[in-house]
Amino acid sequence: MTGFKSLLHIPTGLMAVSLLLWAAGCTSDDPNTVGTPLVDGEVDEVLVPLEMVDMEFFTGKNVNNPSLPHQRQEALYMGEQEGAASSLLMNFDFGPGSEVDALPDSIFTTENIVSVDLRLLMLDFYANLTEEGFTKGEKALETVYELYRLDAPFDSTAYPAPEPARDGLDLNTNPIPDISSEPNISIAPVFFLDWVATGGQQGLTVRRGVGSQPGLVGYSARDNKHPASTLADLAEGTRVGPVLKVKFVNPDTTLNFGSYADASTFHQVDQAPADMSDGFFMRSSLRSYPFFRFDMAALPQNVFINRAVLAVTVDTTRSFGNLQSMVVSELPEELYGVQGDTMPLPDLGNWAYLITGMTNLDPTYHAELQFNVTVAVQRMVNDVYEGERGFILTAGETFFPTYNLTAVPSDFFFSQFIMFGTNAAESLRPQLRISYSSVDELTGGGE
Amino acid sequence: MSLSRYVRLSLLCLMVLLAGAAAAQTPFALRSVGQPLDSEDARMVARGGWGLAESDTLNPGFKNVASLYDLRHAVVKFTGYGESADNTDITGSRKTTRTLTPDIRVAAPVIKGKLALTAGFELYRSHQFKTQVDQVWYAWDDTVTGEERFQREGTFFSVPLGAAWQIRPGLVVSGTIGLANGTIRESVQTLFMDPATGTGVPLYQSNGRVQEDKFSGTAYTVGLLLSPFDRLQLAGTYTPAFDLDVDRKVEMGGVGSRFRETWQMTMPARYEAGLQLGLSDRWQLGADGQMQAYSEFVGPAEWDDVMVDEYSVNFGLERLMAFERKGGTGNLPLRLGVGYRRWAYQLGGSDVIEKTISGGTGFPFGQRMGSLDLALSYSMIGSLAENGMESKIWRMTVSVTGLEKWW
Repeated sequence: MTGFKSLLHIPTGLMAVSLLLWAAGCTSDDPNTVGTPLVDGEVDEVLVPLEMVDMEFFTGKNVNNPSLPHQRQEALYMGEQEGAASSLLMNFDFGPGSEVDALPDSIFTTENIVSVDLRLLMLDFYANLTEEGFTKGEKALETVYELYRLDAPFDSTAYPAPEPARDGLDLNTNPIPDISSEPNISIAPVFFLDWVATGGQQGLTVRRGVGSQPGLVGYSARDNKHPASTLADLAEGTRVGPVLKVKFVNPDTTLNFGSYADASTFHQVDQAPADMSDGFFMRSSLRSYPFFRFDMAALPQNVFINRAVLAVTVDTTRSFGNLQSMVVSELPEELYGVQGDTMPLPDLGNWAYLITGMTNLDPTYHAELQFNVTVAVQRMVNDVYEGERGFILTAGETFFPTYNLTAVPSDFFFSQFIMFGTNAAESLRPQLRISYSSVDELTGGGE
Repeated sequence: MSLSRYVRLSLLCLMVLLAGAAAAQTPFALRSVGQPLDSEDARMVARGGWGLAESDTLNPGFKNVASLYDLRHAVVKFTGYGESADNTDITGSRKTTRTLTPDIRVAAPVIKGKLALTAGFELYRSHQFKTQVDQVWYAWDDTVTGEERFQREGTFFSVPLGAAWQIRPGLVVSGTIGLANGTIRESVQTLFMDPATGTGVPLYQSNGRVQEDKFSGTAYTVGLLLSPFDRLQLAGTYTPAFDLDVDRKVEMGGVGSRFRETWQMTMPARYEAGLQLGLSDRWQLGADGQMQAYSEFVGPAEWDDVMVDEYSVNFGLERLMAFERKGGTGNLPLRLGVGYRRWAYQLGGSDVIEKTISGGTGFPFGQRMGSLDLALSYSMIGSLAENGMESKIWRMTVSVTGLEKWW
């Protein structure tokens, strides 16, 4: 019996080893078509196309930034383009305690002053624009500057607003087309000396004069915190805002007197349209963000969204401005508000639920924009939220770090993406292109 | 052999059976109630599948609970198998492998020679196969390419609780309550691979439909074991038709709602009969027959047209184990058998026939307190000409039986 028991160890071991080898050596081929004739399970509808063009609501949300009011904007804008028009405003101080007051009166004489210029610094983006890059064949940088005295120093907190009252005399002694990125607007020294003698504050306005090529051009404001990325090479200590540049005989030097306030008038700015039929726009700087919801009634319930694309077409012949991000977010319909009302930027950041976006969009080049909003539409199908939600198109705000790739905030550059409306041709109008799949059991309802 | 030793060996076998090989079986399991499994141990498999009339107290069978009446020890038995299948249909061929542990049983005598109780776990139908086919779709201006994958998986299983009672010498009856459960999960996925973004993310999100049916019910089985003559035993079992409550869920990944419904499915009555005849001290033969009237099956309407009665016959010979001193391999048992089964449903308008030939042996543990049995079988399922597909399956079945004194 002992021999037989010991004999058992051999087959038992062989069994274990052979099973291990057998199991290890058995590998199924990858699934293939074998068996498909017996498959009767299927997704009933696959990649069904559905186009949505009707809008349930639309509004253009004005958005302001309380932490960066208009008078502290980093850029100044002058000129006209697609419904926007602006002049430059600046106040200089010649009163007690001013830079001028600190200098001896003896140097402020007609004989001792060689020249007086109002110097501006054009933002590098506008200085580098080519004809193709700006207004399609018109080089906007050729500007005839007009310089006027304001009847009174302007109130920097009052703008955007109509242009303030001004004197009718153009102070520019050399009103010829200027293509410089650092224009120097010549002023007769006698005017400067008069301001010095009068003391107090003096307001000036700079306008694009007759003979200028059309366009809205940006210049550096005194509050420009991003000179390195927005201006051409600057000498150490350069004052980035408008300055009065005065060249003296004795001492043989040039002094720059800076403004104590500057602003853009934006005396004309298009308000968002009441509906999308004839077009709409997304604008940075003076933010106007379109907020809309498609009529989703045609979408069956409980379907799976394979792809949903929000397609908008930019009218590149009318749009203008620097490169911008464009971001699509969800926003609850209770924020619809009333047409033309204003929402604080922090509120937008709190409420907007990021879906997707694109960066480095050139408003004069990128026409067809397609945003993948698949997950958002699926959320709508799944009734994830209480109440309805719409889409809002915004610039790359700081609360969308993925799309906030530029060195400056969205307040800086005045860019306007003008998009075709619902009355446009089929290929141009805003639309939601959905591909969905469904199973019959669920489209009839579910739990 | 001590209890702990055969438990260790059993665990080793289980680990081997459960490890490694990918899970897939014959494509016939894609249809209807799937592939039938038998609650047979390796000893029965080796001799063609018969075992209803078995009454071996040292290597007890559980095919008929009545055969447990004469237990002298508590018994635990694991049965598992690994198989390799070559599957062919009109679209091509595929080799599949899988391992399965369809049967785990325990039993103990209550009144030795008179009354025994048993419990366990038994798989009796199985569904497990995947398909994959390249597809092209069109959406908007895109030509979308990808794959459509289908998978069916699940089992019908039972937790049988039974008792065997010898009314008088030569007459044993049994009763079993089977807590029947099961699942059939069918998933189809459409994978859209192209077009894709520059980083390789497909533009179109893939989707899938998952349908899961969960079954639960209770089956009752009565059994009989007769010994009218020396060396002849007759047996039979009967399981009346029983209802299974079905809970169906249909879901689509990513969709917030799901579809749900419940209904009842009726499993048809099952009849089994068997005999065992001793030819000599070491040789015996036996045969079993089973029939389950699936033509009376009540279930999903789409299955109705193809259901037929499922029956099988099994026949085999066995040379019993001996314990002769210096008997060597001559002491080992030898088992041979054949089986024939018609499946419960037709394919291609023809019956699905499964033919099996098998053989095997076994090795006793020390002091005859259990055994390790194995069987190697070869089955041919279906016909490419008749059914549009066929499978040829090599299967190795292993059973570990452990006995322990009852106190």
